[in-house]
Amino acid sequence: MTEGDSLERVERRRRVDGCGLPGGVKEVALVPTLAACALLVAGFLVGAANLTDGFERWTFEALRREAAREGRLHLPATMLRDAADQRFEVGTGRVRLVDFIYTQCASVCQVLGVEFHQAQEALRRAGGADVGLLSISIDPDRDDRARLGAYARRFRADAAWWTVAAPVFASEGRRALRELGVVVVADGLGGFVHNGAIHVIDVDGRVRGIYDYADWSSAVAAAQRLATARR
Amino acid sequence: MNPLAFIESRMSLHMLLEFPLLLALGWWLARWIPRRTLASLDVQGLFGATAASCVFAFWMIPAALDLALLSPAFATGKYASWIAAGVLLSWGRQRLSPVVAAFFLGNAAWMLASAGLLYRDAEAQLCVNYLIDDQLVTGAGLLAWALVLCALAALRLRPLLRQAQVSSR
Repeated sequence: MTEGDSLERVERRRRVDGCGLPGGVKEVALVPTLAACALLVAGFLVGAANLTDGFERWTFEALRREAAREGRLHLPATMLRDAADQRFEVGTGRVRLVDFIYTQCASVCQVLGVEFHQAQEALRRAGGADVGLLSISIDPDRDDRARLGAYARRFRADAAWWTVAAPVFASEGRRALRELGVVVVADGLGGFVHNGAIHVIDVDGRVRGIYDYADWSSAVAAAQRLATARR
Repeated sequence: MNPLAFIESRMSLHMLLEFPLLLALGWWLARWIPRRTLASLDVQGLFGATAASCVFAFWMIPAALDLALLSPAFATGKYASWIAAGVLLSWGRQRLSPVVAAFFLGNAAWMLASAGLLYRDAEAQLCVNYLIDDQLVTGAGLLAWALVLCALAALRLRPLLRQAQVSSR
């Protein structure tokens, strides 16, 4: 094939396309197309802005935390059992700092548990029993009484302040996670990874804020403000 | 596990394999859908290329990817939008001039590359459904796809470059 040949082919193809060539094949009205494109781009921008809170929050976790700040997240009524096998329903009575755990978690959870323990000590120092800590298991099938108890001892959880519990019904537990936007992913090594954080939950089960473990002191302060406002 | 659930269990497969497959599916389906209706709105293939660019951009947003797994409405939107992008691109491809095609391909390449770099450099997990290792792989894969699109752009431009060579002689 010579260059002349291929040129001719290009020329022929362009004529078919009608791309407004020198020696123009046909004039076509661009306006409707441009208008349609503009509409499309506008629709895209509105959709993307809606999704990302006006191009501010790009991840699900950031959106979830904003939803919590605005009081749009609820922990549904969930029946729990603690290390003493006492049953109770979450979302009643006390402002709580809630985190989600599984007792067999090794490395990372060690740090997080220690930070939750520090929150417990801060509450104890502040006195007043209207704020409590609650760790809810995401692995209720394996986290039986004994394991919940071992977890509580490992992090020196004082039962007066800190309850370690698991959902009585796995389906209720899953529903609670879904409602809160907590997503648990198997890490491929027999453990789990999840968007773990401290959830400040008021007496009606409404989430009022979500904080990183490292920021436990803000979570404690927020919970204390809620409890005081209630009094 | 059904194949779709398997593909979506990994960020890398979800973005690097499922998205292109859905696009290809749309491209393939296009031959059975009468195209006359849109032709007047898709002069030079501009509408299809714009639509595909929007779809590309939207599904690079980490929150969108998570919601596609958590909300059935989002999941449906994802399948529908990628397939529709494939249909529109297929319809418009003969109307796209090499320069316009290369412009859109280059634009998409640049977008994928930026997303890829962000995914690679992010220190935290961007999607609650996916682990960070997977995110690194995905970032690298997006960069690879960006190179593929650059190559496609160069291919589309080749006839023009040749012509320029010939006429300059």
